[in-house]
Amino acid sequence: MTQAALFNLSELAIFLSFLFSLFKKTGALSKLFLALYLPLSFGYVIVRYHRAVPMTPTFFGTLLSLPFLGLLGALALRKKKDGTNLALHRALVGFIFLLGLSQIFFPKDFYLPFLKTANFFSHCHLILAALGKAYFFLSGLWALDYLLKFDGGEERSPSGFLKFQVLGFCCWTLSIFSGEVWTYLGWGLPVVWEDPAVVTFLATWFFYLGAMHLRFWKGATHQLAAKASALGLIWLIAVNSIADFGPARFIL
Amino acid sequence: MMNPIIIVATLWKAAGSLKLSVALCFLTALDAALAYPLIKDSTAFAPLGDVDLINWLLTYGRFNLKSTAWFFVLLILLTLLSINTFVCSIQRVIFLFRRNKISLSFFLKLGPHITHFAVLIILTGYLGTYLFCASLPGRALTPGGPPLKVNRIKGQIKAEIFEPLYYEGDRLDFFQGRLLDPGIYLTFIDQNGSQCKQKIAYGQPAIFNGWHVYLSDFYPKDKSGGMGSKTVNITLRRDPAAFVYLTGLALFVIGLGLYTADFFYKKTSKKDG
Amino acid sequence: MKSIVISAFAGLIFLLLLPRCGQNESASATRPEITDEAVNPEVKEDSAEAGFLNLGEFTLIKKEGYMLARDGAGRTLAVIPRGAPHPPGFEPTMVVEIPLRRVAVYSWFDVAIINALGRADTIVAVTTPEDGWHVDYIKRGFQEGRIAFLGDPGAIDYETVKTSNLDLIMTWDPSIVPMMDQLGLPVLVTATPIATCLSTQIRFVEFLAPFFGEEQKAKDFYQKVKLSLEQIRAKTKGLKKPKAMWGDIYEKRVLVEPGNAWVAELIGLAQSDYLFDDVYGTSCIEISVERFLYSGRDADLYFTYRTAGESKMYSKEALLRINPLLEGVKPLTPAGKAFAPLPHYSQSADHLDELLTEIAAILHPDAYQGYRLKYFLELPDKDQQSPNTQS
Repeated sequence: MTQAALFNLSELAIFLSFLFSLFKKTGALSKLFLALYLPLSFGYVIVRYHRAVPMTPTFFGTLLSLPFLGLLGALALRKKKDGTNLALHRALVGFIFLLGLSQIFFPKDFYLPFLKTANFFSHCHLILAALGKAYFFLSGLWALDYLLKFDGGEERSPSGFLKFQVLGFCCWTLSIFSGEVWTYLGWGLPVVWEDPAVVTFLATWFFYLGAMHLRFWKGATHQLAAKASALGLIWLIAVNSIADFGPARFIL
Repeated sequence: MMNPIIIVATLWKAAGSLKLSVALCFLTALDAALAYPLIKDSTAFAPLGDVDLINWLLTYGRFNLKSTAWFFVLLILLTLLSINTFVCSIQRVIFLFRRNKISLSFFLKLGPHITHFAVLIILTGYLGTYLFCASLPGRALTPGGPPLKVNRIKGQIKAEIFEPLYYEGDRLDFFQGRLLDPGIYLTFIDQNGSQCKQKIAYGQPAIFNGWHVYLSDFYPKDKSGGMGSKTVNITLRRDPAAFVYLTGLALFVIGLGLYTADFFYKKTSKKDG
Repeated sequence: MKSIVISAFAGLIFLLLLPRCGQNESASATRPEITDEAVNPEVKEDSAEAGFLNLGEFTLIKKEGYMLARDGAGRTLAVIPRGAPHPPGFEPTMVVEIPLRRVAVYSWFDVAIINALGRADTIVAVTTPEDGWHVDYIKRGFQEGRIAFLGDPGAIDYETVKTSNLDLIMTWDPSIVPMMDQLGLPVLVTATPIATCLSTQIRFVEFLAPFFGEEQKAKDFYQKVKLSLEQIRAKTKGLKKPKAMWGDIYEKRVLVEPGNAWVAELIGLAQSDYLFDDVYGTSCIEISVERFLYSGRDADLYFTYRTAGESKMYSKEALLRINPLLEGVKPLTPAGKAFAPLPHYSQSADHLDELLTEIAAILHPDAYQGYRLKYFLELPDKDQQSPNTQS
């Protein structure tokens, strides 16, 4: 009950944050609701995670990434001084709200925890992947701002999306490696090929590897790297998040 | 007639092209992403850890092409990517050594190249594992029962259950009374009759005569017991290449650390400048 | 601009999720390749010609003078003609000499498949006592003294094993392997960790056939089942799809057949929606109670695991008495239909074509008018007499 209440309240908070972000006058209120969203969403993921301990919760990667996305996004926006933070803030909370909403209508929380996940490296794998996903999402949103200039106005610096891309890649790589050590200790193999989730992790790793190499092309502009990062938003949802969604359940 | 040296030089340059790297990365990503729905309903990949890669490709791979074609493509792409990474890294490292003095910045710049070589080591390790790993899956033991004789490991294995750990919390109602850890200890008896006892659990293999012994499954799974007898299912593996890819992973982490430090170091320097 | 971008993302996310909205309405459409493979043997004919047969977790590979058989536990056994030299690298208990003459069998499904191959005479020991059998050929075997009871699966009598002079034991319990090793007996594990798909279910006979030298009978059996599947497909094409669920609530536990199980695939093939199509894993997989009850509210038909006659459960009312939680399950109200397998259902895989047809007839009674149930009991709303009198 607490778990569901926390999730619904966090979703309400992020919805209100998005609603108030639509108007300049209520921008501060929007940020306040984002601040409220953070403890609620972290509370929800902690409660759900705690229920599965010592195993990891199943199909939880996308939901787990949302509070990280909110926190890291809020911290990054706090540092932004170029007047574009409200537009980016709007995109951020809108994105979090939509992903959270999809979990209301497409929940996948009915599997029992998998005993083989009661392992330190398995927990590292899940948490680092959620963190990596959050950074990649941020990179995509910042890249969109770089390309589209949400608030109009002057040129944006590419450092934002590039920084998040690098940090996301680090977390994603460490998540994959933790997964490999877990697989090695549990199955004696580096990759369990029959698990399709493993292959989707590799797919995203290669995608961002390609994206990170783009800016080293001779004569390449940051535009190309930004487009790849923005495309990463769709890629991550299609390749690494859809599996976390169940079939439609109109539970409201 | 073109000069062969020029041809080799042109090929060498093309093989290390950055554009080729990017194209191969995106193609590999696309190939692996398309694999998801194909693997989901297929059992063709399950024996890949037990049968060597060549035999797997000629049987399970060849006759389940609908779900394995992407894997053939992946092998080709990874081969090309390995060649490209090798050539590219050699070119850049030579350039780096020629142009730079040994300094902190030089070490930080080595980061990406260390990751490149690490990828090659990891892939070589994978190949070694899937070609040369000996595997004996599906071996079962009864705790307190007769020992399992396996000629290939030159010894016998006995199982004993000492300290089963049950789930007693109230967070997962349906998990109450379930075994979290069966607390299995294996006794290994070698050909000379000497014995050693080791604990085995999920993610905690035992080691005997160069073989790793993994817990695959166990029954019963709860206090109430089950239909069958108490069983410990194990898989035995001897993988001569495991240390290769594990070394590669460690090296990659070092390289990635240097690259990240270089990235933020440059950013800070630019700001300061 | 910002609203365009946000709208675009919202649109894209829901575009990606769109197939999931239709998942319940088009369960059969999500797995066309599996059902096609089950119905069309041509798909795998080239592999059979090359001496390679792969059915789910089971594999047969022809080698020079012998065969390799990978069983459900992933163990590889050498299958050799009687008297042929043992291939190198195989321990004696990993070699099976064929054709088999005397086998002990744990699973009812395996017994029935051996009967389908016309070799029930080779079964000399089972792990179900005589009164647990509902098929004549085994009952007769007991009466004639040809078949022995080995003991309960958890505690088999090794003396009986020794005196039965067996060629092979077929089991779902790999824990007997070390003891059988001591007795010098090979074991074939016929259960798998992942639920058996429809294709494997109807073609498993081809995996067992070489052990008995009955490849032609396996082909005939397969053709018969294939024909029934084609008829089901043709008869149910274009009909309105009923929604079905298969599983049960026990004390604190909910077990269902996952979407990858053969019954789920059959339901999809018979123009119906299987409500646990999104669940993947082992047969009788455990899921949360909430998920079960959610589908229960939506279902038209419910198949319980509980065998009619064994749990004194002959009506929806009786089932609700055992599991009050099932109250929310629509098929257990007068608005829906619930079915329980009869005791001989699980021992009748040799009539697989009839079983498949019966499930299709339950799903689409209009397409099978006048069909009389032989393997299932439709549960009445209120308690009444024993099903044995009805069947």
